[in-house]
Amino acid sequence: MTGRPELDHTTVYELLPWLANGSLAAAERDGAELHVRSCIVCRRELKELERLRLAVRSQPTLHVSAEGGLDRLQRQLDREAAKQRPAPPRRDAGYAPFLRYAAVASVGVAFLGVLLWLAPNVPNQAGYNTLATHSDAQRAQIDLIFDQQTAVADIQALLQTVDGEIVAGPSELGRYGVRIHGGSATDTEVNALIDKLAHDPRVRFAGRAFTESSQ
Amino acid sequence: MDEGVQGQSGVGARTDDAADVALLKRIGLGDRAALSELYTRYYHPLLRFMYRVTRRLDLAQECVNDVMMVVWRNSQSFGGRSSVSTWLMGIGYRKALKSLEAYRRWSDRFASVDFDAFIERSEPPAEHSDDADLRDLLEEGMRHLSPEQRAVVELTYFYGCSYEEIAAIVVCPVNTVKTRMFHARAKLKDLLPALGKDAP
Repeated sequence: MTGRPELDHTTVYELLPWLANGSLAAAERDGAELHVRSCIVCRRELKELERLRLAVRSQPTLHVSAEGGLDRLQRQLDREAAKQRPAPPRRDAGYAPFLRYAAVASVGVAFLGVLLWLAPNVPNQAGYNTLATHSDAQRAQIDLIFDQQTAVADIQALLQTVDGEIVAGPSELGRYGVRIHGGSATDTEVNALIDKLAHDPRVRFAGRAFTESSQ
Repeated sequence: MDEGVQGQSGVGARTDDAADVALLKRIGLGDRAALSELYTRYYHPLLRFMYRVTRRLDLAQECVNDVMMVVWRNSQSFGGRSSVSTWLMGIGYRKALKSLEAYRRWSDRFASVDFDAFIERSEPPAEHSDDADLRDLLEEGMRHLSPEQRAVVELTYFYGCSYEEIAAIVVCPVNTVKTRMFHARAKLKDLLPALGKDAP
């Protein structure tokens, strides 16, 4: 005698998913197993649920790098930290503060003018970020925009066929930066893949990754 | 993907909870390295779960960062009543539903695209016999479940959660979890006849 009472059919039928995943507590598990041994309906259902569980567990993984997301999070934290820095004390009386700021601004404008004069071809160092200015994008080799109707499973399947991994994006336009063969693909390989991807119905745009260095 | 974190039995059992709690304490002190460590550890489990709920990779990616911002701002709100991973999945679940709702409102108002047709576009499941085909059918079948039902199916079958853990994550009574699973099973059974092919 085990001392475990057999559970009724309705209760066990409800519990079968968790009997299948092995998470039931000992008392419930024993009671459910006792019932399943004598109930063909529950035995059949349990078998189906085990197949369902295997199918769910074998669904394709998402080949998305954590680096791009972490990079965005760090920049968000930087912006928050900048906002939280105490503002300089405001003094509204008199013109002295205004004159002080005006003087600083004048010096700044003059300095900027000198800089622009000395270096007229300074590369883009604007304060805005595009997909291309992200550090991950520097390692991306191909920019891809998928067709809006393309399901993620199809995107994953496509990336698998070219050994690609999303390392940046999506941008506001839905552009992803993709690295091929972990970044070791040659220019020739990348060009061939772009040509192939550009003709794929799941892809709306495929091109060389747009980086600062490629400008 | 970090197989060491995913797909084992029970959310709480997947990671070293004491280590996670220690990370949360460091995050509470403003340690960004600790946040990065937690992020890397949970990125893929959270991303997968939120993708399965929303069916949109872009929303899921945003949600992961939203979760981590909550952790950064409110790590002290972790009360220890569940494992850290259960707590994180709970935050993620709520973020995913909110994000999906916001997207649905935006889509309804501004886009001519029929959201349901976009999210749940499908072809009638055909008869297939091997496991690869079953996976494809399952992908299709999951589109027909509600986000709440998908969450319960995913947490049960992929993450190996008990129904009590799921109730804690989705913040509802255990009977509601069982009911959602019951309806999800019924829908999937209709959609996935291949599931029963080996049944006696």
